[in-house]
Amino acid sequence: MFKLLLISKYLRRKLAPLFAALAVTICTAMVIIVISVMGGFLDTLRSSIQRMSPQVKVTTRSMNGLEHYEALCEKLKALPEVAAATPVIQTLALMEVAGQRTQVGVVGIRPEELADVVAFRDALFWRKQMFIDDAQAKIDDPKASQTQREVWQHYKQAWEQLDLVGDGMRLKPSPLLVGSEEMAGLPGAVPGIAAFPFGRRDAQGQYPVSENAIGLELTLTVVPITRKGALQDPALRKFVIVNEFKSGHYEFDSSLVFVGFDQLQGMLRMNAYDSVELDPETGEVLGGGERVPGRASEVYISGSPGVSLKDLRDAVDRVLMTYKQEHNAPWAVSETWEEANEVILGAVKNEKGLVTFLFVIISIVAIVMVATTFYMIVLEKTRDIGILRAIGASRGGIMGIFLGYGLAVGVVGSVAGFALAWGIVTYLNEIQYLLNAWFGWQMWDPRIYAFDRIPARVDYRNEAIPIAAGAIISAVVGALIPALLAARLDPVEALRHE
Amino acid sequence: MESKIENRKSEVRGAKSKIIAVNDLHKSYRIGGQPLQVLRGVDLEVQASEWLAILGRSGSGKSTLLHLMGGLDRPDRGGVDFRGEPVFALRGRALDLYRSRHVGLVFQFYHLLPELSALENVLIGAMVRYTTLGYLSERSAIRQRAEGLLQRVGLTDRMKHRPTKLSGGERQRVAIARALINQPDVLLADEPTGNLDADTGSSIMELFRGLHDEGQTIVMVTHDERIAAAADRRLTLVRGKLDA
Repeated sequence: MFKLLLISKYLRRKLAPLFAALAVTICTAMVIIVISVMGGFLDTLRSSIQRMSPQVKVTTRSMNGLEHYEALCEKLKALPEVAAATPVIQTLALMEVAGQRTQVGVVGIRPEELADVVAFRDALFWRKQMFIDDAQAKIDDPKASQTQREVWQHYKQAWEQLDLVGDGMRLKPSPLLVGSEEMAGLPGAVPGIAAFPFGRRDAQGQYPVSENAIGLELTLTVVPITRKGALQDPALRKFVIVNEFKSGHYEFDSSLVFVGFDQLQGMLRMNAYDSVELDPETGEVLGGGERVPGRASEVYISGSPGVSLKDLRDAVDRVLMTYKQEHNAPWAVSETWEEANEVILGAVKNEKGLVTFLFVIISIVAIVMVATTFYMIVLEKTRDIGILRAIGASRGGIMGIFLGYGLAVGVVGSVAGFALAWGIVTYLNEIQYLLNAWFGWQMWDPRIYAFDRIPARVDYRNEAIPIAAGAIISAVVGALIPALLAARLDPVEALRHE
Repeated sequence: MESKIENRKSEVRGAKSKIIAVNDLHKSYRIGGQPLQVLRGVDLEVQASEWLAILGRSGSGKSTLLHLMGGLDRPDRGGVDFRGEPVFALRGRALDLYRSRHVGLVFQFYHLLPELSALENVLIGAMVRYTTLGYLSERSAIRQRAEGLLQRVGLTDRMKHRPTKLSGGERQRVAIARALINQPDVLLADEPTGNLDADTGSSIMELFRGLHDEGQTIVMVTHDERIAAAADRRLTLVRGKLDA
């Protein structure tokens, strides 16, 4: 009982316990915040990569491509573990938009099939409601003139007719949004929202409606390569931007353009054709007539609900084994989305581990601070310890006071640190907006990073609660040596202590 | 031994019987690497309800003797028997219980806990003695006894005051109340008036007189013969031994 009384009295006394608790608070908050931000970054990165990456893909990891991909897709779709499979073609291209040329990766897709494998439909950024809301805001603007309101009302009615997602899924431009009949006849393209060399984000990292690229002409130039590896004349084709996509993963959003599978296959001359054998001297047709199969770069596969990645991959591998024998394709391999992105995922994972380790090292400071503070308290309380021993308190009781004191400081510091971390992590973006507004300091520039918001989340079960518990244990450990010293004090010596 | 002491306690209370026996007690300290012999074979018997004063000059070993009788320190040789049982045979918690139940210590410099009020300083003696549950079950009786003791020492209106707000005499009264909270068999007082002016010292002696009249056994060490004169019996510690 006397232990509780003294702990409560010591806690209310002077600055020493406050400093000890503050050290625990800061260290607890620091570690939780770092782990939450790094963990949030990793989670967001994983989910953004997952949005546009198939769970498993079949690839040759070369530019040769896969023949008989249709047969492979059919066999894969027949598996109970597989929900959908679609061929894609990938290549590098020169993209020209509004006179600006950049290098991009072009992906030839069948949008409806792709939407069953990855979140292509959800990634289509521009929605008609954005345009309608924007027009409505202009109409509601008190500074707008009557004429301007009428114009915007007209636009709003026009926007009601739009089907931007449908345009993206069909890869066909809406006549409402293109300037000429010639353009209306062009195939559609869906570039990543950050694929243009000119920045279009505002300070909050958002893309205003006025910055949309829909209806712009986009020219792609690719270099076909024959089956034997010979370069052919570059193929150039015009497209119209029908929507843009935003996966949330900057690497994708800044470097990919989706076009129709057939168009890209044709440009790269990877489509099926009948072979012709010519006499090199005379040019006469000597023979041929064999059907040469078309090629795709990869086959994207998604699993049925409830099927694990491992089971899906095993099922794909079984089909692939037969496929490789039947079609003489020894280089075809399966690859999970994690393997395909292991470099970037591994880098962030390692970074998280390293930063957490460093902050845990820093947090040992908390233990040292608690130990130092408690040692000072023991020195200060030496005579009190002698008094308590003189009136019958046991060594265990004395030790209990200081361990209990450490526990109380640990609990107070840990709970405060937990609350502080929760507040900072939950309102991290708002805090940075305020810092930006007050001091012009922006710790997270959304125009630079892959994500609009600082991706932080508190994982209570696996991270925050164990860290808070660890902080309490650290405080008790910090108090342990001073508590042992206090318990070992000779009562007569302690009573004489000045 | 605790149970034996408890059993005998009721038999001897109030009777003129030996309560403490000090036998051939030796104690030395090492100061600057040199041994300093403080007690050189002290023999002493304290009877129940007796008020004994031990006189001696400063540094004569009076406080050491009192600490040994109170089980705060251990001798080099010899022993202290409490109701016939050797105190230094006790170890750990049993020795702690001897200090909290059978003896009450009063010091020259009061030794109150500065964070606690006067009442809490008295109560903590009982808190140390009882387990948490034991204390909680007896809480109201203990509190009543603590308030009664403070009333007895004239501090009814100072119960909530911290030691820093009390005068020297008041602090010593709180220390006496703390020493008495567990109704000890012996009150061991180390220079109880040594830090007080003459008038305040006299009032403390009056308090001791009243306790003695009620049958409290008191062993008091002092260098002041006038203070010692209040006791029933006086012994002088000279060169580490007691003279009658």
